[in-house]
Amino acid sequence: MGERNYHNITEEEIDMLREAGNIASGNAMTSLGTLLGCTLDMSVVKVRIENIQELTDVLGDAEDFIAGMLINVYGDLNAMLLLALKAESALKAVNLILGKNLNHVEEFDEIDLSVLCETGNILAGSYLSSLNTFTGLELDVSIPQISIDMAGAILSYPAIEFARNDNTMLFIETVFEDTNKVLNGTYILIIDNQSYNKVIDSLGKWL
Amino acid sequence: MSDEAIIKVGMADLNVVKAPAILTTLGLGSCVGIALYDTQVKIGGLAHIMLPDSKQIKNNGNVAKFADTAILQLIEEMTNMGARSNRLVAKIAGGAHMFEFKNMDDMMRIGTRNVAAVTQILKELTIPLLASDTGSNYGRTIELHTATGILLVRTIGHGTREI
Repeated sequence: MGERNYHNITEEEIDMLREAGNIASGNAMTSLGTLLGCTLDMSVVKVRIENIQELTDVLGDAEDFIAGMLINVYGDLNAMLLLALKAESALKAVNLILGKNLNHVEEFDEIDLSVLCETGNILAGSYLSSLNTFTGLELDVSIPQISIDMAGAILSYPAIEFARNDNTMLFIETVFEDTNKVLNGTYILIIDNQSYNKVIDSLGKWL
Repeated sequence: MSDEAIIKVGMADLNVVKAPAILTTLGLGSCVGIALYDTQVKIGGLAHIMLPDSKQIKNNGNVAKFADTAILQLIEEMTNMGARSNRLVAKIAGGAHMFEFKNMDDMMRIGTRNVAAVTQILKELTIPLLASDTGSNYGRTIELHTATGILLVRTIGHGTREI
């Protein structure tokens, strides 16, 4: 099978990626719900190909105040996983996990930040192990890193890495919210063109 | 707030306007915002570049993505509008390190490399760099006010300043 380009992605391939994203996110959301002690609802997973000019608005407004937990994925894929929580949601997550009563993200100490990083790590573990189960792709991850800042500034990091040779970015997006609607966020898998080919090939063996 | 037109510049994008319009780019991280301004005819240009050098990239069709080609494009569009290249002055902001990954030296320094490239190109073109607000680990939103030439820098938790 020749090298595909995600610019010519077919409806069938979108369905394959969406279904893979659905299963992997479902797994990740279960882990996150267990960690937070609440039930999370997730939206239908979206496969998005966005121009970099509009990329800063992917998570809402470019100036939205968010906590971004970013993990590099290596091995069979060149990818990144970004867990983005609105600042208020990151605050609620820390308060829920650590039983704290903080009022503002500026009060976060090293432990609070590492708890958020670990949250990113746990989600990535669930997401990728699920992906591994039905693709057979071997995946390693970096230590997660956190930035609490403008959404656009946080997205500039993956944008520079993934839009280096392209003017678009492919990502698989899951939006989630807890059943009490106090905590919401977005989980994104970003993959490059070669990785997109590998995922489709490995899913194709199954479907 | 006055009611001048505010024109948004996206990532890897650029635009050029006449006074009193305001050019803005939101949430600069490792990218650099380059504002050029002709003080006499009050024409301003703003580019939001992502990478230092178009010559290192195969697919480099988008001139606004790279420091070298974006600056030249800004100058061309500004002079077409009536600015003079020998009257242009520059202000820049951005080039932060949003994440500190280990074993990723190249990427870790992309913000620094962007700032260095922009500074060098401006120097080669003898465009005075009047002010800069770069580096560190936080995002910036900037506004170029073409009526005054002021570049407003807004951050979350790191203040607002005019440069």
